Amino acid sequence: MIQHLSPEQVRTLEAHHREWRAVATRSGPADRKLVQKAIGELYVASGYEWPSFVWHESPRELLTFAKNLGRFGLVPVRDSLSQPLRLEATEVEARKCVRPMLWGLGTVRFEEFLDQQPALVMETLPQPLRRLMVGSLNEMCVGLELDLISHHDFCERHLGVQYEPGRLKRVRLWSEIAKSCYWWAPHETTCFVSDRPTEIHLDARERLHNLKGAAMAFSDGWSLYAIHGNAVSERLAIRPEEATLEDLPLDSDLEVLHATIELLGHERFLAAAKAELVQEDDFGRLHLVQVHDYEPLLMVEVVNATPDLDGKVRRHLLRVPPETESAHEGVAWSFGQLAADYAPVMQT
Amino acid sequence: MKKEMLKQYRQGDVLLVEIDQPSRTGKPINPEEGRIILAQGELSGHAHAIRKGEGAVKLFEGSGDRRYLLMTEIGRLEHEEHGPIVLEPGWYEVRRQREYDPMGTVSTAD
Repeated sequence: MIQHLSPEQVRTLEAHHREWRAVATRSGPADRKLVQKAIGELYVASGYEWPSFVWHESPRELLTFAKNLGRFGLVPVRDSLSQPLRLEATEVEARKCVRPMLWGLGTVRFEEFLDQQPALVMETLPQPLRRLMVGSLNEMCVGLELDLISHHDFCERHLGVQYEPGRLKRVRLWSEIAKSCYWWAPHETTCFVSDRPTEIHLDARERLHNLKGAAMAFSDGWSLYAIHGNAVSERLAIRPEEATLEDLPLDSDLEVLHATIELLGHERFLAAAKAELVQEDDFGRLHLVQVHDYEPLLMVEVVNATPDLDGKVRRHLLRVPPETESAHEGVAWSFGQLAADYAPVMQT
Repeated sequence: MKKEMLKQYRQGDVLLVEIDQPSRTGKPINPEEGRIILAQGELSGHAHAIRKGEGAVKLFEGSGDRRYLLMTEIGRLEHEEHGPIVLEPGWYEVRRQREYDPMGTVSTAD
């Protein structure tokens, strides 16, 4: 059994991990002929008849089709097809040793990385389709299986683990399918398959993100928008000048908040957020934004003491604790000081 | 009697507070390419830094993200987007600006 990896194997794991992350974020059309052959062979190797195929351009189109059918209307076979991917008792321990995060590879766990796409799809779908997706999650392959496929691929190709030939054949078919198509819903006699997105954009920490357009888009024209992994409206991403309070992701973390401020510019952000100026002094202005069901946002607007090279004076919004009573107190708090103790002799 | 205020200097998101010699400091922080870097923006790479001959300036770790700075000669704190600040010899505590986050306080990084 695998107990540890050699430095050489860790390097191989890193390359392998990058390869599978690239598979998960590949865009462009699926090779339909190749996918149908691989899925068909997987059906037959699993004891089913070769299915017929129904192709869709996006998961939304696939789910709309399923909704019109009254769900897929057939017997789902995903669980039996995925039998060879399941870990046997002896494989569970080995898997712990080859988890990329254990070796400091990647910024997020691979499962979380994979989960981002179905999560954004779920968030963006209209309500009835979202309900259908929740109900059909156990019948569809939505990319999460890449975690186990890549694991077996690594064990077999790089660690010399011996697989029973029948199982190995089916694992390899899963690998081929994963590399080409996107979501698929295998049912007896019919398999519903979706094309891959035409584009996928990530930030430096590998989260779905695009401040200039869609984070994911499909060939049927369906586009999904996200800032640092947080789903946002089309209006915020495409027409930020029209953004209103409901478009602002104010319940998200600071990174998303600041990206939104950057997108809108701080004045438009304050206007869209219906911010109320509650206090002003020599240190800045204190703005209050009421957020439905969440802690209100209290932000100090401060001015850079040094103008930019083009002469413009840059302003910043800094979130401070909700009990802050003045801009002076807020800025002092941001440096761990009480207002009475905060008085720089020089600021640049 | 009015408490005497410690001299403070602010450069963007970094505050320097003049202090007496601390009773203890953490590990010294080595210069990078001839500069002592007090703080650096994660994305911009812009740095609050002092370019000085070896021995004239020393930086030590403190508690949390605080640092202690020892200037044995007069020196200049520089940054790509902010005006320079001339620092007299002495000890300073270096503080990064933080921001309120309901899920935990975080440092800002300009």
